[in-house]
Amino acid sequence: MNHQLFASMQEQVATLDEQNLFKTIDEALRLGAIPADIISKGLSTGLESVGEKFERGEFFLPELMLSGHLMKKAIERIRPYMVSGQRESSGKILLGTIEGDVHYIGKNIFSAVLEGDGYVVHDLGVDVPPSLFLEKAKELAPDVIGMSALISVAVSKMAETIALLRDNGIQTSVIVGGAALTEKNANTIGADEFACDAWQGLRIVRKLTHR
Amino acid sequence: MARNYQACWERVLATIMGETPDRVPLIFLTSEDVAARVAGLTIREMMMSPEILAEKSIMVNDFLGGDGMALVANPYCGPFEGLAYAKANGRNDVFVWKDYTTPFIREGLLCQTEEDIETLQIPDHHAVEPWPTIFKAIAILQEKTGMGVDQFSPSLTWSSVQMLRGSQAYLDVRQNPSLLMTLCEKIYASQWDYYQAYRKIAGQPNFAFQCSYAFNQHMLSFEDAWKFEGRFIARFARESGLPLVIHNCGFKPYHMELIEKLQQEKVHVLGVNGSHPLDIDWWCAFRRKFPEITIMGGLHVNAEMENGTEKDVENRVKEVIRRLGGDGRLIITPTCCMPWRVPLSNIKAVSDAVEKYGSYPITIDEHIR
Repeated sequence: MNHQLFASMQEQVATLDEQNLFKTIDEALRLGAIPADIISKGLSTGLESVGEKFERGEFFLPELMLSGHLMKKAIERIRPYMVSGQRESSGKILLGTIEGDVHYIGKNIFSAVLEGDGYVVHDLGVDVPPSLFLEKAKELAPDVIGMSALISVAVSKMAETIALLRDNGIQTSVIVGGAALTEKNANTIGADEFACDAWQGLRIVRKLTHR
Repeated sequence: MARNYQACWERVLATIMGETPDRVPLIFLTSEDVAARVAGLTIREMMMSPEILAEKSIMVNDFLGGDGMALVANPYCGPFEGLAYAKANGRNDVFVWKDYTTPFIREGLLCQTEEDIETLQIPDHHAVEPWPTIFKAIAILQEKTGMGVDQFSPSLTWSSVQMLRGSQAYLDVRQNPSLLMTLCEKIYASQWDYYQAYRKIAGQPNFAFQCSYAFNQHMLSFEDAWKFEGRFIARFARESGLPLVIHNCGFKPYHMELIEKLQQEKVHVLGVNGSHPLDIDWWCAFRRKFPEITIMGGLHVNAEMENGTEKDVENRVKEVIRRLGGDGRLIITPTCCMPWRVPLSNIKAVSDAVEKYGSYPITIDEHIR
């Protein structure tokens, strides 16, 4: 019974069918399905299908954002059934657009996808100075730090921020993205990882958090 | 050595129009942070008057060299159109000025709701700053150097959509396309007003340098990009009668698909300006498919320019010229805007390499084309 319901959930996430997904989740919970199984065997597998469609060029940013929102709502729906300590989150991510740049779209899409996959995102917003990244990295101890820059002039601030983090003993993996970057200059500025889109970013974060 | 402005512009114009110039032209697109540092003024100080803006623009362009003469406050409908929208709607608070980096509007704040879109005021580009200052500065640039007016730079429509509506626009594509289309129509009206003000104050341009930011394969399907931006580009070209140079500095541009579609729509495309793909093989394929279109690019500002050595820069320029420049229709342009981190020695290396390898007739590496 559950196997069929998980398959339905996968399909409903992959087709962004919110209405039927929630019915299926409710039915699975009524039949006693474990929330962790709903997430791992149903929702996350469905999100994988969304990512594959994105990589194949069948889905685009609108679908990626919608899937992130859908996943977040689905997790909220099953949260009351989770026992304490059970899959509280996939990990903690500190995110922000670097100082000198106020573009947020790429960062927000990444944030939606991360949250949809169960990560807790601490979004510092835009135009974030290096000192704030450091302060929050110390305070929150994130699993991954993500920085975004659309304009090329902000890349030097990224380098400054990463250097400040390292100088202060923060060894957390830093992932960078945005149109101003290439893989090569991401390495040059000291970033650990580079993602050219939100889905690639999620894959990297999963790897960094051992998922 | 002082630049010969007339020779510079004739070189650029000949290339764009499909003639063979004396050598491959070189244009540096600068960002405001480079300009402010070279000029020794903050961006707002440079924009205090058309005279100062024009004078500092000439100073910066002469300092960098090459064949370009562009205003240092980028006159395209990007950040400064955001400022005009902010002013026209009484929301100066949503615009973020920086002394030494490009200013920007905070995305998504002006059009958060349906009502915001319906009541959005289009800027009067004849009156709402910074446009009158920018247009007058272009006119002064033209008067002093004979360059500057020819290239007009709207930005249809996605740049403004993202500034005004933010990431919600991507949800609107699926959830509320009619609302998004209402916004696009307003933006088009604004861009048309911008064009009229430009003609009146700066003069008549020869072509439009048209941004196409929706046309990136990881952002929107080609059909959606066409629906919310491409059709407006085509409409603008038809209504203005101007040929276009298509600009897109995104990761995965639909350059070929867009140009093909625009040509089907009888739009005259003169050139393409892009940073990606970085692979020159791709651009060789582009050249074979569109032999009549000028390629403006070849160097990515955050690759060789920022992180490479002078030799890396020289090798890249040499390869681009030898593989793409043989028949003319090539302008070397580090794309997109050069940030301050680019070493001056690498900027000089570009100029030196263009002088060394770019004089016509050019030795072509046929076996690698």
